[in-house]
Amino acid sequence: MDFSEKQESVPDQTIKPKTTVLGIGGAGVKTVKYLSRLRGSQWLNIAVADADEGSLSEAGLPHSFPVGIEWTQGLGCGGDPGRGANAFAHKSQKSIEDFISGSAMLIVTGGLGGGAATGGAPVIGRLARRLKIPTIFLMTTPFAFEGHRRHEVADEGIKLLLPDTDIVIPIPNDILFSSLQSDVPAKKAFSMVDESISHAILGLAEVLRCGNILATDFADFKTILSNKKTVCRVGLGLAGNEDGDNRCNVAAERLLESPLLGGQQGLKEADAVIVTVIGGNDFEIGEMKQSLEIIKSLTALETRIINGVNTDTFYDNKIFITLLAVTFENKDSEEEITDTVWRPPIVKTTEEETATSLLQPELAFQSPSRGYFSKTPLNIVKGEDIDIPPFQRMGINLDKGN
Amino acid sequence: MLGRRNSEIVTAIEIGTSKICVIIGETDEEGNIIVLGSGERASEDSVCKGEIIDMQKAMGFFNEALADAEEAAGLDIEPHNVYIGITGSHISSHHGVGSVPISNEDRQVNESHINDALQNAAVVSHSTEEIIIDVVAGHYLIDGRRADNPLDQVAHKLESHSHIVCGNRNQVANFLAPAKDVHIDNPTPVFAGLASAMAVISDEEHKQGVLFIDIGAGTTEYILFYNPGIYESGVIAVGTDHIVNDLAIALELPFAPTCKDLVFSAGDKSKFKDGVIEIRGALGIRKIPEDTINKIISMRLLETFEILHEKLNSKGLLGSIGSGVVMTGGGATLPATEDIVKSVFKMPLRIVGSDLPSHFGGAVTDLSSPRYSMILGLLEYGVKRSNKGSLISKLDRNVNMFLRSGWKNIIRAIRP
Repeated sequence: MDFSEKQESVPDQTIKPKTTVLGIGGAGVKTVKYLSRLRGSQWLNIAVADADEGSLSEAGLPHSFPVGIEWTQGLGCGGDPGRGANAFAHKSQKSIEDFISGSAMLIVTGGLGGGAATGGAPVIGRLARRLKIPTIFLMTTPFAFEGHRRHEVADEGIKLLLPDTDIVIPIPNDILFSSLQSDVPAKKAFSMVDESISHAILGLAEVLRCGNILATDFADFKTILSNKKTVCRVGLGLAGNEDGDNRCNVAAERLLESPLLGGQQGLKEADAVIVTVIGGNDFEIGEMKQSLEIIKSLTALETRIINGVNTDTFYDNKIFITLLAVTFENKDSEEEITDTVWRPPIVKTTEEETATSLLQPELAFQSPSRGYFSKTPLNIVKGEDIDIPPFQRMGINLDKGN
Repeated sequence: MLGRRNSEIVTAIEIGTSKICVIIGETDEEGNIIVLGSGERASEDSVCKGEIIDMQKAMGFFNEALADAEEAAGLDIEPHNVYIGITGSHISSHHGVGSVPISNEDRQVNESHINDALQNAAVVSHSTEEIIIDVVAGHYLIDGRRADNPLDQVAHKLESHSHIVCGNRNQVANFLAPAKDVHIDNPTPVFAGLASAMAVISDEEHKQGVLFIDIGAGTTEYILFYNPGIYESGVIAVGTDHIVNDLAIALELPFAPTCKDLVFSAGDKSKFKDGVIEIRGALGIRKIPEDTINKIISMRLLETFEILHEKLNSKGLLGSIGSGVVMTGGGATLPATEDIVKSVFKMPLRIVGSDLPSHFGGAVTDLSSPRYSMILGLLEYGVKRSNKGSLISKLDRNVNMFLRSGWKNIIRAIRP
């Protein structure tokens, strides 16, 4: 990239597919509503989906998807994730699918613990997988004062979500307490969460949009977060020329004050940190080094750090540091259930192969035989005739003895 | 016979892939189910994957089983109160919503309103080739607020959400044909999975949400219960016959009796020496590695449960199972089943054993294995539905409701 080139301030968007942000459930809708008003959100496709029609109409966003209305009368899922899942799984899914198809990436946000977001998130996860769209779930988990039940539901929700998605970033609302006075009313506390999360989403989207020099990309997030139960914190710090010569230090200070970071303590407790510094055409090598060193000095020795540096003309005369601090819940991953069940090796890799093998029986070890079921109708499930023995369909050789 | 008995005689019929079976029973004052007599014949290939493929043979076996049952019970059955279990890949289910305005003076919901709401929900949204077999009530909405028991509440509108099980008209008629052939004019079809669950699932399990699975010789039925209704139910046309077939193809040995024996004695360590079992084949003695047999059995069970897991997971339903999985049927007795089910579903598992629930009595000696859950449950269903008297209140000719018996009061029956 030639730093001396003059470029337009808004990059040409017609070529690259966009990042889509989808807010689900009451909290998700409010967060995305806030996001739509932030400068920098113009690069995003924004949509919201909820079973509560009131929440959608209040947000007033152009791409609103009511789900499961026939069931819930447009009144929401009543805190029942089962209903949430059903609402998202039925025909309303098609319009969401049409909207997100063709996205470069999908960021889903919502508050776990209730019905729509907790139940709907895994459904969206599977949909995105099917459409092969890399997806990040940035979900909040309830404040302590919201009670035991919501926590349990949220916890279950994360467990259900992990296998169906690449990246889940769970952020506990309680982190906000480090920067909240105790006399703040609950309603205000919730709206502060929505604001902070919307900033975090923007930060994340910017990191992934601006990837070039030493880019932090989706794969980095995936490496740290995939299939692990975590607690995450987010820090954002923006500074400009007007903040003086030491704009990196200013940005770092602001980052440390981020409401969703939990202060320096939050950083110290992290097992892994993904930090990205974004600057403009005036971004200097020295500044890059300095910013990353500041972060390094604030983390523990054993913390794994993934650095990224990006540039984009939107950040001319500015410096933007984003940080995701990840703490793993189960250090020795004992959560994985020790599986003594023998599983056959996966020989086939694509659906096309499976379909073709139905037509070319010579591919299997023997020609597929239905044996006892030869004279009965085919038993097709997901494109395969399951009357044929699994070992034949999978091309596995077995020792028949002598 | 009138006046001699306290309750109606009920007949339960199973036309299954491994056996064709008839049980005659009644109830006693405490609501226990008393088996008066039973009869059974092996289906011998007349039924495959849950569907009748040789009607003449099946009818013949049915007549013999019926004769045995009548002889054991010491009576001839009446042509009414006859219940037949229905299964097969043609079974489908969907969610039904029906509403009714509450227009009586005191605006209190009564049982008639509940029945009307259920009637209105029992609409087949598919083709005219489908008929409704069962309607299982779930929850209700009273003026939009959820209520599990709406009786006597004041409202403008009552809405019922229920689970409707449908079958293909002709396939269902097939199951009823052997009975009609002996002048039982109006036998009642019942989804086999539901019947089986009746004998097996406790109120406690039902309360927390439970996944019920019945693995038979030809089919695997499943029902996902939540409190108070059913989220999802269906049939996968795979059963233990598939495991037998897999072995027969892999080892090039006869389907029956060789491979059948291999499947059901796979856990019997005494038959294996140095990891090998000796089988007398057509061309001499074959030495079959135990490992191969186990792998084949495991692959089939694993695939079948993963199909089920995927069906439920794709609708986000697995999170609602509090009690875990309960399994019955011949397939549940296979040693490999337990580990595989736990591995796929990652939740507690109860496998029905050979002791019957305590409310069954009478001539039950030969019926105490998971293979009989369906027909015993069908008898229980029939008893509850048929009896006038203190157990249930019969409201109108078409719709019966049985209350006061824990979770099983969710079953409403609407004659197709």
